[in-house]
Amino acid sequence: MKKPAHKPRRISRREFARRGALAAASAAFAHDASAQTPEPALSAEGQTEVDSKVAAVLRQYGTLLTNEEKLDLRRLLTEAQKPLDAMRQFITENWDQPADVLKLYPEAAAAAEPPAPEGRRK
Amino acid sequence: MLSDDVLYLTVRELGERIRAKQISPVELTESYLDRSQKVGPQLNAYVTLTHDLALAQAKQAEAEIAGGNYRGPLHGIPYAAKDLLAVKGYKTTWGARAFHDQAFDYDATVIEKLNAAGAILIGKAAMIELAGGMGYRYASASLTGPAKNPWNTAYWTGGSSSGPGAIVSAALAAFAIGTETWGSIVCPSAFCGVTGLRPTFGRVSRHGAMACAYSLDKIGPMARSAEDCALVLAAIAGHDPLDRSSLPENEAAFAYPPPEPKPRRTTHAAQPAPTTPLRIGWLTNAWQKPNAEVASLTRAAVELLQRNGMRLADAKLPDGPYEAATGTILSAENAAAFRKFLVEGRAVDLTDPLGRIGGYVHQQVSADDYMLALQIRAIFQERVDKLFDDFDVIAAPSLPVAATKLDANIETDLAFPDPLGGIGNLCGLPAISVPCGFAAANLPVGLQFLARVRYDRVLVAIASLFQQHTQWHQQRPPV
Repeated sequence: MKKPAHKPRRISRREFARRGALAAASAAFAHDASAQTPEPALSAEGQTEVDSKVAAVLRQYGTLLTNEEKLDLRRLLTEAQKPLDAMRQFITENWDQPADVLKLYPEAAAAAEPPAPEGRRK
Repeated sequence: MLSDDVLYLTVRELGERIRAKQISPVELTESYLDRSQKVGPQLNAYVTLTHDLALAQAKQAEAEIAGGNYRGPLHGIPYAAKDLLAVKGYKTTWGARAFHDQAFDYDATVIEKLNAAGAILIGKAAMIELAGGMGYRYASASLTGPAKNPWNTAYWTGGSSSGPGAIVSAALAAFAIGTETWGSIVCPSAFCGVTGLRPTFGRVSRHGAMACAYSLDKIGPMARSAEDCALVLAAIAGHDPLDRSSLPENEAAFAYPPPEPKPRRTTHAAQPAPTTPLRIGWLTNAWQKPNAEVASLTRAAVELLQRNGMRLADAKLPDGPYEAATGTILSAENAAAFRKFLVEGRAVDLTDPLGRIGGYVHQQVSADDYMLALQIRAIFQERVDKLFDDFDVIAAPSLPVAATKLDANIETDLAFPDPLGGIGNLCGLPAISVPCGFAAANLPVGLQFLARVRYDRVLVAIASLFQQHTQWHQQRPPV
């Protein structure tokens, strides 16, 4: 597979504008979600995801939780869904490398030179 | 015992007197221990007092200094460390009942570095259980109960470095070591009226510290002045191969005072000013609705800097879902850090009703969402850095409110978007919180500055300048 023809961080003006608009919308959405106004219901997909997560927790930990905690759990997962959905609206591309790091071990300074291949010389 | 006037001195002032042999490290340590024994329990400030270790270290410091072996500005200075830092020979509880009996047979790197600087550990400071990584609803979310604010004991210190905030504020030690994943140095510093420095991510080793979220955790000083924070940071910063996120030595090391200070011009008799005015960006979208007193006091604080030669202009954080990204990273990494604890069902041992279930919520973050959040982090590292092309620091209220009451529901009473904390911690930016006045009920208000990564020195400079012009950091609580 070919590498992208352009450098990772160089995006077109159109793409930049699209990202910006989505980011702005996401931010506004996230802020609205925490305001003291009544919140609109989750999307059907969002609700399904919440239900699925609640079920996963209950399957693993249900016996440890009181009824009150189970209700609280659903509330927390429901509240977390909107910012999560907003975050997913942010467009990233294949070449947008995540800010994770594989640090080589041992570090360069400590690493020995690779051994020279052994064999008879003519 | 030494008087309060001595115990409220800054690290620099204490260091000068110790060096001049005007103060005995042993007497100073005994005085802080005595005050900690009397006042500490009133504030729920400590988990453990390290009495024997402190006296042994103090006697050693005194002997060394008497023998002409003065190690530096922290030599003979008593401090407290948040109880998530391993100290050999003592319990390290992580502030949680579930770990009340935990002990490590080694010292955290930060403790080792402070030992090497000749500082004296007098106690393990109280904290919110597991640094609040699983969420908490009440100030009581701690092995040692709710930490009380020395300015008004009906109010909370803030968290999760609750003990360090109370200890420094009430002069139970000369400085303390706190940690921040998202807000845990800035918040208690603001609530308790002390100066707290959150260093650039990777500058201070986390080896021997409880992990809350691997790519968000920072360790930093809380003290009575910005200069004190710089003196402590100089001792604890530096590369550590035992921390995979540790910066290389040339980026991690921090010298204070700077080795070669730039020439300065003088604006009036005794007041030096930088040769180039620092540019302050006043954030207009840091908080949605700050409390009126907080807004007024913090605005007055930056205007004071403007009157003293700083350039002040409005600034705005970039738009984007970075709060959600920070929250996603925190959740995923916290779930990983405590996987064994959660799977074994030990979360039921946590004190707080929210903390008892928060870890299960964290475990539901998908790998896909975590990686998306890390992609967003990389994008916003660039975007926020551009802000510092126009400004040396950005400033905003440390929090939009003063301390909350001890029995407040934090989940609702401190529930507001925190884009500055979100992006600052997401991108590893350094921050400093300085006291800048008092709101109702005699509660301190904090002003925070953030700078470009690795520019911790700029934060110290501007905060020190502010403290040269004000006396908020010298006020004493009624304890």
